[in-house]
Amino acid sequence: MTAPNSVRDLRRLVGPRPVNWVGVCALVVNAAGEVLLQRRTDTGGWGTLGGIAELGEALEDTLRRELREEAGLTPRGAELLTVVSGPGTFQKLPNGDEFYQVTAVYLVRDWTGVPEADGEEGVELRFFPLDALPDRLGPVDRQALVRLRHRT
Amino acid sequence: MSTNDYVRDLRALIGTRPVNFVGAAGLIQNEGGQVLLLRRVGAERWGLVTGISELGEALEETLRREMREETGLTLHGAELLEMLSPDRLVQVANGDQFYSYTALFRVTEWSGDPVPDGVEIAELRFFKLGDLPPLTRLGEKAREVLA
Repeated sequence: MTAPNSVRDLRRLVGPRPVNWVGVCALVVNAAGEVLLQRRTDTGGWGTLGGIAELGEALEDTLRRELREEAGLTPRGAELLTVVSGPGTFQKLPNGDEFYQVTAVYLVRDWTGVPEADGEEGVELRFFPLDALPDRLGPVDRQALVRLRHRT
Repeated sequence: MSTNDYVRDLRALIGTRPVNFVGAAGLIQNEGGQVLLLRRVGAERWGLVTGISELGEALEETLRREMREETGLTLHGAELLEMLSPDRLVQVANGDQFYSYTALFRVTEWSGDPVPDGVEIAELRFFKLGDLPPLTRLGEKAREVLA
């Protein structure tokens, strides 16, 4: 997930201790019903697009910003599928920062642009069939993709 | 909103500066289709059961806890209606500032008799949709959903 300015500012004050981060997960789906994932620079694992909301940022704007930054895409519509939250969302980053996530999961079927990895957070973007997803997905991604499978 | 350890612990570190808080709210109706609204102490407008999540708390659990604390009701089932983003920066009386992200649930099953907690909640009762009092943002949202 991107670390927006509000995250860095708060971390300066609270250190690595756990906090609740609110953000979005974007399930970009193509005409073949495949979902777009990015291979992350930091962990080397695959994950959904998305990130943490800036201070006061509307979640629809977080979605647009993250899709632009991480994939060069512009959504033309988005549907809220679910919100993932709770103890199972806990993550500890390699730098020691701990957090729980409250993630609004959006389905994006209508978008413009050609997916292009930003080269910073993500090194590769690829569409995956829902029955052939990569291993080692994070807890929020797993729940989001289960929801997508039930939906499609 | 009840005493929240997460909010208190975070405020001890960050002071009053703005922060994103996430929480839950519940739209509760009785068998007659009337909607449960509550008026907080010192407030003029009526709104929904709502509160900020504790650390790592699932949104449904936040709703369950706030229902119990604010109204004495027990939650048995709820479905997510919308995820509301903040419409403004909120500043409370002690100076604390925050943006509020709220999961709005429709409570599909509940039990108990609504009783205001007497501390934060001044009044609590069911209203007919055609006869609603002045509403908070969440109260207005409930009216939109039920229209």
